[in-house]
Amino acid sequence: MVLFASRDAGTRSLRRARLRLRVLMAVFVLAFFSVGLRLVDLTTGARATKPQVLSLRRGDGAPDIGRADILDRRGVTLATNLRVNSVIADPSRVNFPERAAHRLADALGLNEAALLARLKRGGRFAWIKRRISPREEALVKDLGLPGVALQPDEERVYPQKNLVSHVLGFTGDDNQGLAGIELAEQDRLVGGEAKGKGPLVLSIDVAVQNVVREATMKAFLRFHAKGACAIVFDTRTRAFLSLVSLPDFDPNRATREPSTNRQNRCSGHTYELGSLFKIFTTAFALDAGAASLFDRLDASQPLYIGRHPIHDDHAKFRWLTVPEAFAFSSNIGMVRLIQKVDDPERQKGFLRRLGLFGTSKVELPDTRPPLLPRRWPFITQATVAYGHGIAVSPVNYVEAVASLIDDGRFRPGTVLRRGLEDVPPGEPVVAAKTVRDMRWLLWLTTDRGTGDQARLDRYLTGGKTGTADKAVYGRGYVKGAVVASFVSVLPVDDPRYLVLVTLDEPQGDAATHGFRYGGWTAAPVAAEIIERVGPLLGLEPSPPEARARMEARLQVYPAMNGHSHETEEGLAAVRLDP
Amino acid sequence: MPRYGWLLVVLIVASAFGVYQLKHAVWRARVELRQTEAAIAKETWDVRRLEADLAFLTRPTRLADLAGRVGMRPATVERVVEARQIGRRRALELARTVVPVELVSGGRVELRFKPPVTFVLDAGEGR
Repeated sequence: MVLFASRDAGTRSLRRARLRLRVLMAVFVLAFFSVGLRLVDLTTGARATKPQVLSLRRGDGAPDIGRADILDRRGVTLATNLRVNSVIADPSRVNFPERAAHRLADALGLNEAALLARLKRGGRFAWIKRRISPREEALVKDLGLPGVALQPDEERVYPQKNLVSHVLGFTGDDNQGLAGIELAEQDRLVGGEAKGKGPLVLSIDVAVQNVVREATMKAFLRFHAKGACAIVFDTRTRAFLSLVSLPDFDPNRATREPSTNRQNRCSGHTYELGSLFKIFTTAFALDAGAASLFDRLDASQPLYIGRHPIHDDHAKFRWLTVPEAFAFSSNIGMVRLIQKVDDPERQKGFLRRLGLFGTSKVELPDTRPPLLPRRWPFITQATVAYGHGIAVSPVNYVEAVASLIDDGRFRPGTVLRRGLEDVPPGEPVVAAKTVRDMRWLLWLTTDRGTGDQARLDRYLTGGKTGTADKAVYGRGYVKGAVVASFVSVLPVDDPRYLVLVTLDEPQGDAATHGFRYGGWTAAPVAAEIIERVGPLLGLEPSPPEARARMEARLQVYPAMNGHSHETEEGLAAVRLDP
Repeated sequence: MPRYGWLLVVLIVASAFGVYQLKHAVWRARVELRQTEAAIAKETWDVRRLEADLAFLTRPTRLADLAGRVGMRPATVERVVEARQIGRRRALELARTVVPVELVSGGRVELRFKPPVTFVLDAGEGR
């Protein structure tokens, strides 16, 4: 019984083991079968023609660009990286350094002694020449020197040459930004395209920039100015469409240009802008309610503050209305206006709200902060009222003026392209009525005041002249040196663009009767810029009704000698006009 | 040897062949990928160079200089004309003209002139 029992148990165990083996075999067969099927699918199926391995890589096979391109607002290339070759050497493998140095120096135009020293210094690596031309590349290949090789490299190229030099800046040997937007946006530009951010698009328009540069260059050369700055500013997006600083430089060879040419006079220099500041003084007095366009100011004789006399360059020796004081650029009138407020803190607060107490936030690295008076006694209030004793950069100035003629709100400017939807809401500075009054005063100045040289028949423009004695650090005001400027608004009834032209130390000529005033030197430049830039920007000529509306206001405001309509009816009409 | 041993051997050999094929295909794909990437990189650099060339050759400073040499002048607002000043009035008058023609069959038709597509700029005509 026991024997039978153990035989039965053995048979059962054998059966169980075979069953296990079969199950295991089935699992293996199934596994190998599925692996085999997958292999057949991968090697002969549809997927075999489209290698999956590609998707594991970056995807498009595009090369890594060391630095993103910079484009203008219409997509024109301003800066790009190109593939070039550099010559390198492994000094330990150069057999005859003297012969190699001689041949390389000859082919590449290098100093033979310096090159020989580099080859004899030992080590495994030495730069021979960075970024060579295709011709030099062919010469090096022909030499066939052992231990000398070509290494792929990148070169930053600026196809527009001098045109946008101060905005773009330039890069160093290792592709790092050294000036301009190249420096300011270094992080964004390095690896920007590789990270999928694409090129950096500026607000600058090369077509506009070319017109501005051409017109400004003519005046710069004609008046033998030390420097010049011209700006076209979009008042709605608060973006710089053009920013020209003269003298300029070619960023392709920036380090070989004189350092004075590399200074950006639009953002990196501060100027006392003289009568251009009267826009702020008048807007301040009107907005504060301290004065109205009907007020009259005594400009019949020079004004003394302590022992300091204040004169008018375009003196009328009579009482002036506020519009007259503005349009004839009366220093005395502006001091009388600021006297009506006589509150330094309010004056400072107003200028601060216009961004004139701080450095402009424009994306340029060399932007200079304003030079402000340390104390604000009344004499300072008075001089600041007509633009002396305070120095600001043209960029700062343009941002401030745009606030007063657009919608009364201050917003910082930008050199990066942005649409209307990206414009920040801004901080309120003046009321809408002040904005309307300032537009009219600017039109009046161009139509009948000191800015009549910028008057155009087909565009309704407004503007303000400025001529300031030039202050030089450590020397005070330099006799005979002035900064002549003109700021213009286009079209003045519904502003879209601001144009600022500043000439540093212009010399008058026979055509200007020796005058160096902004009205004679800078205003015609602004007029030429507007005439040519308007059609490029798609601005239609102003309708005759726009001029008629401006002139209609003359009928009711007592203004302008020889054109005044100082009737009681007129004044009554204004008082009734909301 | 188990009953299905032969099947296992066949599967192992087939798998080895499949793996070899796959590896070879991957290697081929890698080579192709490298070549394609190199070609793309070269093309990309070439495109960048051509774009830079285009920007250099069409830079406004150069175009203004060339335009001046062939007698062209900068466009100013003075040269902007309104649509009503464009001289198409004569063409439109001609288009309105109806010319009656008697056919051989005796029928009568009216011929009209098709207005020209291009307009002649004549700033004075529309005033």
